[in-house]
Amino acid sequence: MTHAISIDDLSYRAGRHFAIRDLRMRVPNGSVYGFLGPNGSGKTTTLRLLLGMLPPGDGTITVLGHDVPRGAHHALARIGYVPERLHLYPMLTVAETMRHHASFYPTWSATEAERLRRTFDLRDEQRVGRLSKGEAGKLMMLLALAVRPELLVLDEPTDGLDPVVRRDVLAALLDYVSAYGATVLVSSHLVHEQERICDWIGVMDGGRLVAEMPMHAFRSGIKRLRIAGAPPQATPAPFGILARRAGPGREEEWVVRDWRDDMMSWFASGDASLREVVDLDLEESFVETLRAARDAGGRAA
Amino acid sequence: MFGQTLYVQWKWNRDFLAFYTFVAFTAPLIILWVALPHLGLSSARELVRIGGVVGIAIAVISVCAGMTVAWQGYGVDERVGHMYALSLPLTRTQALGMRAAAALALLSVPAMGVWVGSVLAAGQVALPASLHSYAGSLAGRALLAAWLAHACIFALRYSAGRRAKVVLFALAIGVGSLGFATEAVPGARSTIVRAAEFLISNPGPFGVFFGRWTLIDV
Amino acid sequence: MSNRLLTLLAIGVAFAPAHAVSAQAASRDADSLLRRIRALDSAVMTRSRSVDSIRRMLVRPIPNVDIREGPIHVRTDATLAPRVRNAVSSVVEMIDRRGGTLVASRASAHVAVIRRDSTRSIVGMLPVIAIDADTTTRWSMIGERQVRAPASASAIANGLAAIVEQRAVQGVDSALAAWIMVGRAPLRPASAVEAADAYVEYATTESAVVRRCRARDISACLDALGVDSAAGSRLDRWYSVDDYRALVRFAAPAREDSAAVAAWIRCPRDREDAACAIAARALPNARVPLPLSASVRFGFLREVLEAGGVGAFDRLVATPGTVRDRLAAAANEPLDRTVRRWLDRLEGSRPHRMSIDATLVAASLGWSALILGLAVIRRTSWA
Repeated sequence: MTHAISIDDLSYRAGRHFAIRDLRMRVPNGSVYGFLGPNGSGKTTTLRLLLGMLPPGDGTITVLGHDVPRGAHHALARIGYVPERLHLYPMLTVAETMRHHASFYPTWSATEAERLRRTFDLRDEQRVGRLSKGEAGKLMMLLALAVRPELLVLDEPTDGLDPVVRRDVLAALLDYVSAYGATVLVSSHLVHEQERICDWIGVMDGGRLVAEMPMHAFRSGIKRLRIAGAPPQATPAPFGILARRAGPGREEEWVVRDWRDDMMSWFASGDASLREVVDLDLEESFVETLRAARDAGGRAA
Repeated sequence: MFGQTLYVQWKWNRDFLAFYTFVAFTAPLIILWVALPHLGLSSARELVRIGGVVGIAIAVISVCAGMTVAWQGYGVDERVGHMYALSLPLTRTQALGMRAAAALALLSVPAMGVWVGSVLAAGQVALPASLHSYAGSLAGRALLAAWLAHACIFALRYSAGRRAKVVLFALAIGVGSLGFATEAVPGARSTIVRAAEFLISNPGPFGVFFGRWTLIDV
Repeated sequence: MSNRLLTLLAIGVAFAPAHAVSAQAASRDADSLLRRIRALDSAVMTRSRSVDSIRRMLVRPIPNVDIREGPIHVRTDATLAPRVRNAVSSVVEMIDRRGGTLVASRASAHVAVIRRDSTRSIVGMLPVIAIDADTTTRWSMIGERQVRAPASASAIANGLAAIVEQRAVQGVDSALAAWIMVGRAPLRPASAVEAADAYVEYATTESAVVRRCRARDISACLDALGVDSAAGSRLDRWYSVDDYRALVRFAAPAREDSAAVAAWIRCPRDREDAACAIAARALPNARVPLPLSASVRFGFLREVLEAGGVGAFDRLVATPGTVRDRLAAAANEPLDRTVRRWLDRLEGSRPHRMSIDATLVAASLGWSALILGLAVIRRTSWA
């Protein structure tokens, strides 16, 4: 097995207006996979589908070698999950919640849990329903990590948290990953945060996965080119053209992916001339990828 | 796992359990305390009648306790969108089985209240030799009735979820409409009467609710 | 025009001239009036029988299968015949064992009709099998019995046996009839419900003599059953002061005794024991009710007939003397022995109405598990 998560031809419909269609996704073992997408793109739904919380309409899902949803309970025993909103019982205290959670996981580490509790500065007698957003986020991360999972599924784990808490949570996560080599699937719309911790990226939009590639390829492979004398129809190029826009004068602006420096020579063989190559940061790359996907979807419609 | 499930259910339901246990304990005492000054010097039939009043009160309390624990127990997960329960490494059967077993264990608390209250209440009265108190039987029947009431609402909540209230309402309309059905469909009446007789008598599904509920009897 | 109205009209017409005559003439006229009324009534009866038979022919088909066995003659239809045959056999056996020649002769005097009656289902009642006691007499004292259709042979036998029981006591003398009171003879064995009800009454009756009976005082039992016709105050014999409040629930003093009536009202309203005593003591001796009801006496009579065996009922009716003498003759043994056996059987019939038996536990747990299992049926989450 080379992938912690494999999804093929997944379809799911919720109501009349939202659907996940023909989703194909691979999360390699040991990777930190960033699941990017705007709000409402289907990230949380996809996570719930692969955890067996929702029934898929069609397709196959394999998590840690188990078919989901049939074998979901086997997979869940090896997964640490942090949802986007507090999902714990509000009337229990921190200590009671930890005891309750521990009883379901044979791999629970009491020492690790206690260490994290002290690190996160959570008090035993605090009621879960009275925790602040930051404390709740820390508690959920504590529960997910103390289980010593092989796979961490994190849905917007730092959303709404202040920078100090966010730093503590991410530090604990990275410590765990580096110590145990676990696979992490983290969903977020915070692009800069993903850029720091992820080595794979998947971009979701409108229920479809529009891009999936290693982070370095995403970061370095998407460029903005300033072209002069570009032909109306570009001949097949060694790079992917995400967008073409009119620039000043007779110039055009191309957004391309899978760019390498040696591809400059392609312009030498044609009428177009390359004036400038501009690096894009992750956020700009993400926006251009989405824009291109939507434009392609619009043209197809 | 089960211990922790029981603990969570207890913590969520403890206010209601305390209420029902208190009511179940005090009902026999209060009913007899109110009735005793009005009893005659020789009151076997009145005692049997008062015992019946206690029995009916206990029946109502037990059914309400069972239904409340089932409705509220579902609510602890409903409040957090069921996410936590779904994220645990359990099959649906294991999860629901533990919840049901926990609730059944908790419902023994009001039943204990029935037993203790009934024993104390019957102890206040000088029963004639031909009459006996049935505190144990009353508590046992109360427990069985609470379990069955719990099972009905539990199944409704966990299979119908948010639509439970709609299902209950539709059931009420359906039962109420049976009277019209008996007139409209020839031969329906005797079938409905026979079905109803089976439902409410032992060993039918609701036999435990009907029949004799009394603290004092021959 | 209905038959009742014709009769009333006939009587009215017949009485109309009576106002105008003198006392002596009125007396002569009254005799002839009576004769005229009887003649009119007879004419009305004859006409109504014809109307009835026409109505029955039009409304219900006349059954065409005759079943005769022993003293029983029943007419029914082909679909019911097999079950009715079985029913008749068991009723004949009952007459042979407990009834005797008197019961047999009374049963054989009439033909019963057993038919399916679906007319009732039209007006919203359940379809029944009707057992008509006597189709030849219009104003029969014995009512029709009904068993819910479809009915087994034993249910039909029960209905037919009830009619035989009623026929058995027709014509017995008033003293015995008053003591029996329920209007039938206990030829069938007691049902579990009857036996349980009798025990409940025995165990809860608020009466000093019944309490002594429960302590196995045989003479007290006979007194409570109204078998002993001892003289003196029934109130003092049967009820103590403690029992007066319960007693006056069932018996009221004479209307003319205003003080007693006032006390009778105060007794339950104000829970005033002194008022209860006044009301109880004001009861005429004959109106002090027997402590044990007719249904309990009925059960005792059943024990007497059981003890006496074949011919017991004949002896009961034929023997002269007091009720005690007649019961002793019927039982064919000292009555004390019968009473002891009756007490044993009565106490053995104590219902365990509050017992939780294994069936109840298994059924309620089983149904709970089944209903809980419905919760698991949903395919996936409960969100």
